[in-house]
Amino acid sequence: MARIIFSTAQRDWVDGAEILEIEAKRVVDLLKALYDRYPALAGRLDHAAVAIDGDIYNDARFQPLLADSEVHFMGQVAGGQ
Amino acid sequence: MSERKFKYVGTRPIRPDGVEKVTGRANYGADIVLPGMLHGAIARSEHAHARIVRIDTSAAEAMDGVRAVLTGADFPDIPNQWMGDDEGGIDFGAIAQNCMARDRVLYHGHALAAVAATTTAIAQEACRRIEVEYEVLPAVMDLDAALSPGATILHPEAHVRDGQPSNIATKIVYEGGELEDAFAQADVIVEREFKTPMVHQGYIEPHGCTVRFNEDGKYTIWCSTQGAFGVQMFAAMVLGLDPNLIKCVPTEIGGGFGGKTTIYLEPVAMLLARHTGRPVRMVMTREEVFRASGPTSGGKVRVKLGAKRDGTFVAGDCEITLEAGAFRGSPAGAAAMTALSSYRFPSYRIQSYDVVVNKPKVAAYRAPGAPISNFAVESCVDELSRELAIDPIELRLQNAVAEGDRAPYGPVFKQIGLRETLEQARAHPHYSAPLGENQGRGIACGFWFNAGLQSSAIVSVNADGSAIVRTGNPDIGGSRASMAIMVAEEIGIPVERVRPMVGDTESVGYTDLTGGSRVTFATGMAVIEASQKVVVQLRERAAIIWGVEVEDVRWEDGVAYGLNAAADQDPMPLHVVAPQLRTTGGPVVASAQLSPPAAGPGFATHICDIEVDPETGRSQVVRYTTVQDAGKAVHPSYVEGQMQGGAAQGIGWALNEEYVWDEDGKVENPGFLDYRMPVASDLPMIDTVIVEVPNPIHPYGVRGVGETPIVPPLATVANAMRSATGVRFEQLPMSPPRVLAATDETGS
Repeated sequence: MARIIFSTAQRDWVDGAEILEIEAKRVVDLLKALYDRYPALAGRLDHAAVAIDGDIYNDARFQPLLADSEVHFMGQVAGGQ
Repeated sequence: MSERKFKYVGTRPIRPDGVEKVTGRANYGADIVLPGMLHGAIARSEHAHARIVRIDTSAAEAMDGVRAVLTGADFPDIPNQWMGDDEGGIDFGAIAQNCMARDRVLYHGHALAAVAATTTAIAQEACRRIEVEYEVLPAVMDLDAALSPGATILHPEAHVRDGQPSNIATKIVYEGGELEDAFAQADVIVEREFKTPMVHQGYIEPHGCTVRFNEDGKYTIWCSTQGAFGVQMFAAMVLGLDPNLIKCVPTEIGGGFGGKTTIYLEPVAMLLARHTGRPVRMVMTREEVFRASGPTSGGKVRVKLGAKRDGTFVAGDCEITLEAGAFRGSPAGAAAMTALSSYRFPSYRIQSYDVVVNKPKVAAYRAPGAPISNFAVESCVDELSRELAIDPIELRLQNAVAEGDRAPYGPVFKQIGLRETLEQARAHPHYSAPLGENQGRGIACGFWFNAGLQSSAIVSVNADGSAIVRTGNPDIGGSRASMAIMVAEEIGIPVERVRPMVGDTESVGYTDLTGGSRVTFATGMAVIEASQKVVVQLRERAAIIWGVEVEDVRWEDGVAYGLNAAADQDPMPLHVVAPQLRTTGGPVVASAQLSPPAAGPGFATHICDIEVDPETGRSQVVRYTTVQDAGKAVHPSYVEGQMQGGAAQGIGWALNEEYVWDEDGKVENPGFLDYRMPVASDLPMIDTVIVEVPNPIHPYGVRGVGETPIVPPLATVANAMRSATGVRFEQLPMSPPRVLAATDETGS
C-alpha cells in the first residue's frame, strides 16, 4: 500500500494522522480515497505538487504508484531563474 | 548514464545568439514597431494605500493625440480565488487588480489608469492630467506594523486567522522529532533573529510589450517574458478571454530572474489596442520597474540551532515571516522548505508566514525565498562552528545531507552532491590562502529544488544535413546553446550545424516557463527524445537507400553503418543521407513532449574573502569562489555564468541593495543610481568549480543550475564580514553606514 506522510498543516484535515497507508494505483485514485475518507480534505490537494519516492511532480494526477510508494503532498515550487 | 562518453556535451561552442546581441540587431520587448502603432502609458497611485473616490479622465481625453483612456472600470471583474494549496498557488483576481486597480490602490505606483496616444510624451502628459480623488488610508509598511494589534488590514474579507481578519495570508509548518527534548540535550545553542530588505531582481531590460488586435477578436502580443504560454493564459484569465484568441510571441529577453514570469502591461495594452483598433506598445520606465514590478520579499527570520559538543546537530527551529506585498503570494513555502534542508536535524520545526503589506506585489526571484531563510540559518551555523571551535567546512560535512536522508519537507533525497561541493571547497586553494589586514573569510552552503514542469520540442533535418530545434522556452540563460549541443550529441553533427529557435504559442507545443532552473533539464530531455526519434528516421532512410531492414542499420556519430557484413555498404554520413530525404519519404521531423519530475536538488558551497575599511565601513569582496553540483554541465561556460551571476546578485543583496521607503510609503530610490547593484568593477573575477554528481532521472545526468548560486552568498558574505569585523550582522544590507555603526559600537 502507498504510504502517505502528511505535513503538520495537512494533518488538520486528516484527523491528525501523520502517516496513512492506502491502496491506490495512481495519484488520482489515492486522492479519491483520501477525499472519501476525509471530506474536509476534499479538493485541498488537487493543485499540490506530489513527491513520489523522492521525485517531485508538479503535475502528478495520473502518475502511477508502486505497492510500497512513499507519497508527500507539497507546495508547488517553480522558481525564477 | 555517467559512463557515457560525450563528443559535444561539455564543450563550449560560441553562443548562437551572440552576433545579433553584440551588433544590437536582437529584438527585445521594446523593439517591436508596427504600422500605425500607438504608445501607452500608465497613471500610477500617489499613495501607498487609498480608496479611489473618483477618477476624472476628461482633461486627458481632450488632449490632441490621445486615442484612449482606460481605468479599472473598463476591465472585467475577476474574482479573487486562490488556486493551489497554502504553500503555492496563484490568484488571477489579484493579478488582475495588480495590473489595474479597481476601487483601492494598495501601494505607491499601483496602476489606476492607462492612456494610448500618438507619442509616448503625449501619453505620459495625459496620465499627469488624470485627476484622482483619494481617501487616503493608513499604510502598512513593514512586518511589525502588519502584525501588530489593531493593524490596518489590507484584505479583511480574504484572510482570517483565529476568527479575526489578519494580514497573515498563509501559515506553513513543518515539524518532526521532539524539539524541546532535543534542545534540552544540546550542548550548544545559538539563537538569533535576522532581517532582510525587499530587493529587486534588477534585470536590465524593463518590462515591455506590443499588442495588435484584429477585427476577428484575436490578439498578438510581442513581449519580453520568461514564458509565452504563461502570458497567454494569464492575459486570458485577467481579461476573461478564451486563450485561443491570444498569440504570444516572446522577444529576446534582457534578464528576468523570475520577475518576468507574470504580467503587468500586457492586458492593459490589449484593451488599449481593442479600444483604438491600432497596435499599442507599452514600455515601463526604470522608475516604474522599481515601483510596480515584482521585487522579492523583505523578511524576518528567527533561528535557533542546537548541537552536541562533538558538532552533531540535534535540533533546528525557524520562524520565517515574509512580505508578500499588496497581495498574497510571498515565497514563504519555499523559504520554509529550504531553510534546514542542507543538514540533518533529527528534530526540527519550521513555521513560515506570508504577510501582506502596502508594497508592490512580489514576484519570483531566483530561488524564491531560499536566500532569505538560508542567510539566517547559515549565519547560525557559522556561530555554532565558532562556539564549538570546529572548522566551518568540517562542521558542515559532519551534518550535511546525503542520499537517503529525509528533507524536512518530506521526501528522501536521492543522489545529491552537497558533500562533494564541501570537499571541493575545502580542497580549493582559496580556502587555505592567507588573509590580509582587515580581511575575513566566510563560507556557506545552499540548496534549491529545481523544477520539472511541461516541455515540448521539435527537431527537423534539412536537405543539407543541418538541423533545426524549436522549443517554447525564451532563452534567458543560454538554453539555445544547450539545446543545439544536445541535438548535436544525439544526431552526431557539429553544434554549428544545428540552428536553435524559440517558438511562439502557435508554433510549438505547450511549454512551461523558463524558470525554476528547469530548461536544460526538462526541455533538454524533450530535445534529446525528439533527436533520438530523428535518428530512428535517419536509420530508416539509410535502410531504404541500401534496401535492407532498419534493424540492419546502426547510427553513430552522424554516420549510418550497415550491420550486414556481407553487403557492400560503405558508411553513409548524414550529408549523404540528407539530400535523399525527398526520395526516401520526405522530411525528417520529430517532436517530443513530457512532464518530468523536478530537476534534481542542487547544492552549492561558496567561499568569500572580504576586506573592510575600518574608517568608512566600506567593504570590498576581494576573492569569491563558488562550488556547485551541476549534475552534468552541457555548456560549462553557461553553467559558470549562472554560478557567477547568482553570486553577484547575492553579494549585492548582502552588501548594498534595499528599497528605501519614505514615511508615506513611497520608494525613494527607484533607479540604479540610488538602488546600488554591484557592477563589474565592484567584484573580483568569481572563481567557479563545477561538481558533477549525475542526476539519476536525466539521460545525461543534468541538474538545474540557475537558482542554487544565489542561495549561499548572503550568508557567505555575512560570515566573511563576521570574520573581518567580529560583528555578527543580523540585518541586510551590510552597507557602509551600517557596518561603521556596528563596528563603532563594538569597538571592532
